[in-house]
Amino acid sequence: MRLLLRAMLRELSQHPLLNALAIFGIALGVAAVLAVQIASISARASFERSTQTLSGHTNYVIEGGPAGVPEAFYRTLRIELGIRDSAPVVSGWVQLETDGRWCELIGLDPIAELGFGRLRVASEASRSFSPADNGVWVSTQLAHSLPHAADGTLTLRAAERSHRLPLAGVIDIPGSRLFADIASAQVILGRGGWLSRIELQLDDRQAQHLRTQLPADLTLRSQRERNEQVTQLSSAFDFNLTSLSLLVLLIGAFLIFSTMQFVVTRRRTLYRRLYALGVTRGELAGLIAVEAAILGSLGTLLGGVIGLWLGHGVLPLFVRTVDDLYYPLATATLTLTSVTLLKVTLLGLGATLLAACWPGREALRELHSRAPEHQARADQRRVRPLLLALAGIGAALVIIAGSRGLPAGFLALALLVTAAVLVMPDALRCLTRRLHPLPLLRRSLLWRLALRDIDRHRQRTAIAVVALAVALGSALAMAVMIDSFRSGVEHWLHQLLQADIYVQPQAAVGNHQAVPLAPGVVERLQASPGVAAVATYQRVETRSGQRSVQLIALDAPPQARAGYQLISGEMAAAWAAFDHGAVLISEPLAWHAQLGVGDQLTLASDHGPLRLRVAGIFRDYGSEHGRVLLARPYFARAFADDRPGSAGLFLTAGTPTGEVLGPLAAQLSPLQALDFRSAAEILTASLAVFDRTFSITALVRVIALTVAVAGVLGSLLALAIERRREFAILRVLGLMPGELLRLLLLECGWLGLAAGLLALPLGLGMAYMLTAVINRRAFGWSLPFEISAETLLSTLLLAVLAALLAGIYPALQLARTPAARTLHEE
Amino acid sequence: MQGVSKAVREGSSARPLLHSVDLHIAHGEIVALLGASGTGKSTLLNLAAGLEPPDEGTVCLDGVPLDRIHETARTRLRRRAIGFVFQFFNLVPTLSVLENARLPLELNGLDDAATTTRLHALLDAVGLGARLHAWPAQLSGGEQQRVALVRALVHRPALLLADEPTGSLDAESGQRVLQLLIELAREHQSAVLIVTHDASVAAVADRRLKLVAGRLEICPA
Repeated sequence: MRLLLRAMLRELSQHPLLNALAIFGIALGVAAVLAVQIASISARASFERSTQTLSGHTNYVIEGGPAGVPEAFYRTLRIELGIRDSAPVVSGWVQLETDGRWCELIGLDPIAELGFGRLRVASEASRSFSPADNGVWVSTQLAHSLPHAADGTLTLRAAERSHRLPLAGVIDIPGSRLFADIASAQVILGRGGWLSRIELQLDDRQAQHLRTQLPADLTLRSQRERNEQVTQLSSAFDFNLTSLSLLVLLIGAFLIFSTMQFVVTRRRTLYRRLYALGVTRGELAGLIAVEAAILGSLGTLLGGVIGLWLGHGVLPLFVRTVDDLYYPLATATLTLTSVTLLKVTLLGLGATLLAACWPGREALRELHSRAPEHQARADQRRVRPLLLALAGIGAALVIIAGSRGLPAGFLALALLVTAAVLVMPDALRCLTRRLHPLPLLRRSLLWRLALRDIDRHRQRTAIAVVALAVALGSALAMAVMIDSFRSGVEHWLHQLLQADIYVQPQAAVGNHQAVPLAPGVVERLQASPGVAAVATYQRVETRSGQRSVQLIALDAPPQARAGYQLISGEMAAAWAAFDHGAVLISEPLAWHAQLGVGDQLTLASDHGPLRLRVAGIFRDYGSEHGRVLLARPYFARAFADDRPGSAGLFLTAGTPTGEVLGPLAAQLSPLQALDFRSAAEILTASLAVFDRTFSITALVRVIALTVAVAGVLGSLLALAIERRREFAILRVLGLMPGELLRLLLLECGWLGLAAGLLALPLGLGMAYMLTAVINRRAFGWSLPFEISAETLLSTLLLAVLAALLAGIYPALQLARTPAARTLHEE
Repeated sequence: MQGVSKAVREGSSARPLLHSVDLHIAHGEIVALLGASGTGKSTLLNLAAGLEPPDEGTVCLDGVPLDRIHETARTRLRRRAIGFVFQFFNLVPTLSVLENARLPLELNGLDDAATTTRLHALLDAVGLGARLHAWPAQLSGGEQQRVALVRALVHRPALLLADEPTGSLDAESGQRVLQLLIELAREHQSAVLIVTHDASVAAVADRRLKLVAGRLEICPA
């Protein structure tokens, strides 16, 4: 066995480039999966670490509506309900005046904290957390990045006021956070009389008892449940990226498949001889598996290194997207768990062994069968791929119809890709044979040779074409999906942003929490010359059951209402019901909560659960978790703070924006520092966030294409090695090196074009699945399906270029190899 | 060939294979080259075709020194003036019988009505007129070698190089192929160099040479 292994390894080492490509392919696949996993786990772990350290020994939390928990309840909790292991918390966002950075300010009660001991000072020099001098304590990370203040103070901006506070000490806690005594924090954040939450240390029996004692407007949740809900916000985003990275691995597996098929094909004679000498099929299978395992291990190892490097690069992009769209996350440290490593290792090795199975099985089966019989059986089997493909598509349709879940959507997508992969070799044969009778091509010897060579070696060329077609199809699908999404978002924003000018407090810009417009601002806006109507908006985060939703208190004139595109419910009736206390909900909320017009929606309010009738469903891409529109008067009844946070100004016809803007800003500046933006500016900023969000997807797309090009290169190299004798004969017969080069490039060009042509239906099918099924299930919104001729043409062009690029090296190698040497060696 | 020497590289050293070989073959002459395995017969054939350059000496075809012309010119000369018959036929598997045989005509731009007629006549003559559209894989060894023979002679080459042309055939097929080769070569007045181990093949040649220790020796009939 050792001798056999040695012989096979020696043969493996004869084609270093081919093996290097296979290792590279699997490495890139593993790297893509690992990078996405690392980024996702690191972001989540950083958030959890930070919240867990902050939670300390507390395991439960009492929360209220958007305004929070009335301060008076804390007293009731400790004295009347006798819960001593409790700590009040006030939290909010403040801006550092030195560099404009937003940080979370957490106000705690130093006496209550004594029982939890979660705020450890970082050094002896630091004062311990106490209410002594109204100072602020900063987290270690923040302390390192703060510019040194000569007078030992820190100036913060919050609730539109500046606060200069003495820097009291450094607390050993993760993240960029500030801590202050609870009373100071309430003053700084403008939350007098309100707590953000009360954190508790309870056993299950106490928790159960406390639930029965709480007033209707307060809820008790476990810390774990609360953290999970926050990190779950980005789960669809994580899942999408993980699926894309698995696609890269699939394309990498094609490379391994191609290499193993080449290795096995070349060794058929050797296998037969060994078999005749008494080596069993099992032993031969073992040898094939060992070779595959060697390639897989090297690929996985290299993939691990590239993945770590890539993960390091992707993490800031990932953190930025999570921070933009899901939950506050300033930074994250790279986290690599042994589970992730094990998962990725198994994935890399598993994909390699799986890819080696088919060629190995074919080779071992041939030990028994004679070639003609084998061919006859292969011909009989030819009908099966089509049947299997149809079965796959049927199964995909059944899965889509039977489940609303995201994994089912991806399973259906995987089945669609598998079905396409099964029919592609036959489709390639049909395409190639269709070209044969064309008179122009019949006359050209090179074309004739090229087309027939492709057809003859279709087993190998098909792998290259399938790998390239799947990669290009995926890239096309992602491009169509992103284009469709972008176009949908752009159209939605165009329609939504009906006002000429939007106004919000400057303090709200970049802030994670809403800042209200100062009293009198709305009235002055309404009274301004040139302003025909004013719409006001107030956004609060609340919950519907366990789901986070954005509730928007809306006071909208007809012009603003026209911006909401109803996709369910009759426009006039819906707005009439809205004026009488019904709500309009966004499409994602309707999808996730399975709500329709006429259903009841329950929201947490400052005065307990609020049951509202759904009057209409509007298109919305602003929040995947859902938005609810409620008329301002009804909002005011249920929520403590009903001050609008922004306004939209509708100018009288013919009034230039510039004419109104200057006087307005001057008139309102004494009341409040305001930020004025046109609809176009908001549109541009929103699309910038959109583009940033999809930058990771673009990176995965590039990796998929790189792997595919490597796959084609590998297949062509293998093919070139197989056909050396054939080309040597042509050279001996007088084919010029240039003609040989042209012949090979013709083959590559056609293979690329065929891959492109096959990628179009696959890509469009995948794009439809991504837009109509996956996006719907992941985010709840429906997208338009837009295909541009430019995208399709660029796919074809890319296909041809990729194949030609991959073909240059093997073609040059073949053209340069002396024919006599080849004939002698062969 | 005049004063041709050739050595083969074996790692860092070189093993001499041919040593100051002189060989002249006239138009219409058939020369058989004999010799034990590994003595350099195939190398000599490659040198004659311009597929390998000699280390020393000159190889000329119709007065043109092959080692002193550019690779492109050498290839053009080879496709115009040389025909090959290999031991393992070496037909292009993706071309039919007719297309394989027509390959040199196409490469030389001679694919006109007259040459096509002659091609069909040649294929008829070798008994393949009814199998023009068959694929190489569908032919027997003897049939494949007959196609190779037509391919080697259809463009009337000045030199026909045959490397063990009957080596893979049974005695009957081998004999038939050999007869055809001799007939066609004589008809076209091609110079023929046949590498063979088979005494019956050597017997039909005008001259018999043996390669011994890198030098050519005349073999008695």
